[in-house]
Amino acid sequence: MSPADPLSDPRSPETSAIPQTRKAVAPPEAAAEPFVAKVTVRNLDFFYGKARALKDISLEIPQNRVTAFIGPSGCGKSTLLRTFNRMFELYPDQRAEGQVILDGENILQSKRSIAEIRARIGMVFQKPTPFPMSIYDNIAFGIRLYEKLSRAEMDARVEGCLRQAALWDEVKDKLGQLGTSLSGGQQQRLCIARTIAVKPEVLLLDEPCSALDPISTAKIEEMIYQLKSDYTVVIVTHNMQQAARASDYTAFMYMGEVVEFGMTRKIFTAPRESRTEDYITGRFG
Amino acid sequence: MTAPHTLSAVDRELGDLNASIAAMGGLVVDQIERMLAALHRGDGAALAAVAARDAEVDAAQTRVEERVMSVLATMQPMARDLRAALAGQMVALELERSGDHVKRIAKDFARIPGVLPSEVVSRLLWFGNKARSLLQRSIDAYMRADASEVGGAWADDVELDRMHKEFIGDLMLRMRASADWVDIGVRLMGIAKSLERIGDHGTNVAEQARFVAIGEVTPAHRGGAGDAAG
Repeated sequence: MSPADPLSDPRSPETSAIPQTRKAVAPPEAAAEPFVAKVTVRNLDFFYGKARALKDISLEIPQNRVTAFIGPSGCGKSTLLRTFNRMFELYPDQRAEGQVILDGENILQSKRSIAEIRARIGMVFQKPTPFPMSIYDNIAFGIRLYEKLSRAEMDARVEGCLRQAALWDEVKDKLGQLGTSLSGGQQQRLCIARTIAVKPEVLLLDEPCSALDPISTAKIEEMIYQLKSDYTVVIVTHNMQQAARASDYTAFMYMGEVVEFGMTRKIFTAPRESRTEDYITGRFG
Repeated sequence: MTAPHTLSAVDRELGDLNASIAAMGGLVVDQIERMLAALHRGDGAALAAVAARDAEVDAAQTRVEERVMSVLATMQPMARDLRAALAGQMVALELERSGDHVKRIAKDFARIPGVLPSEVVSRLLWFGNKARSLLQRSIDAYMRADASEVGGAWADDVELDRMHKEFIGDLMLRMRASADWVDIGVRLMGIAKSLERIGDHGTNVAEQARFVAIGEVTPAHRGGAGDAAG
């Protein structure tokens, strides 16, 4: 153990190691910049049958920021993401206990329909999943479920979504073609355009670039950067550089717990926890 | 103790970088020692050799910078590894500048006419040894990524500043007392300033060790002797 350093604080102002007993947690730097929690996770446990995959997670996801979940395979990051829109309810043996609060309402106990919750909290998956229909209809399909728009209004909405997803220039002359005819990177941006078409408040991205080439990945990351002014974005990624480039906040998870949560620039330069440092420097995981 | 990297190439690259910094540090400290020994003997040829050898220090800096570039470009280091790469570049710069000061001292001393009084030479040697010791300990701390050395470095730096001030005061008295001392005094002032600057560079190296260890950039208003004691 080194002697006490005269300038070091016992606690870094910019990262938060999450003690076992700590409850709803915003990173300490939240006081230094405007931080409004869009999603608050409180004492969340998650079970696959009898196996406890998430252990007493408490976390605040900031509004209009990009938050990345990182950690080794099986740490619970995708599981945590999937509780945010109750995606786990598709499977009978899975259950969540605790609270996931969106704008004051615990969505785990919400009486709203699943469809309404998933419209407010959109999700994009690892593998692009365009509908087997035209590029135009891939976007318009979801909108028609919730709104009645004129043709002109629908055209404008479709164009706006494709522009936000940085895809308009590449598809504007072939909107009638099948969405599945696009390249992998374009398909993924189409899926993101489709997700934001129903105006969600939160956008969940589960390893959205893992099947894409570097240029397509860069386009998605740039799009994420542009989208955060309108949406709260949460991304799960195995790609450390991607988390470092694309997110404002990062949570490092390990064995179902959030080990450390803080500003990305701090987590990737001087994390507080040795487990975080060992993981992001490639020493385990 | 840092655990080995899953990808052994990262450990190799960082190990090579640290080895190049250690070699450069050893070279600069050796330069200071040779310079002080030559100064003690009044050996002009040895001083000239020290000045000529500064090219080796410059070449060592280039090797460190190449290693840093290689680590950054090929390994995308994060956290402590990133800090080690960034600090490595800074330490090489501090060492290169220390080498420049050694060269300047060797050249300035060679231009001083006649033989200096022994108490002046003794004082210079004491001063120089203090600066060398500070730099050596800071390099050692850097190689261990040890933040604890910085307090001692700050204290020594304050002491070096005090010695520098006293030495300058003494030279001023001599220059006022005798016109013969004006040219000598000006050159000795330059030498003293260079020794004091080597101490500053040594302190900066200790601060880089602290940065690697704990990830905090040292504030512009760093600790003086009082802070270091805390």
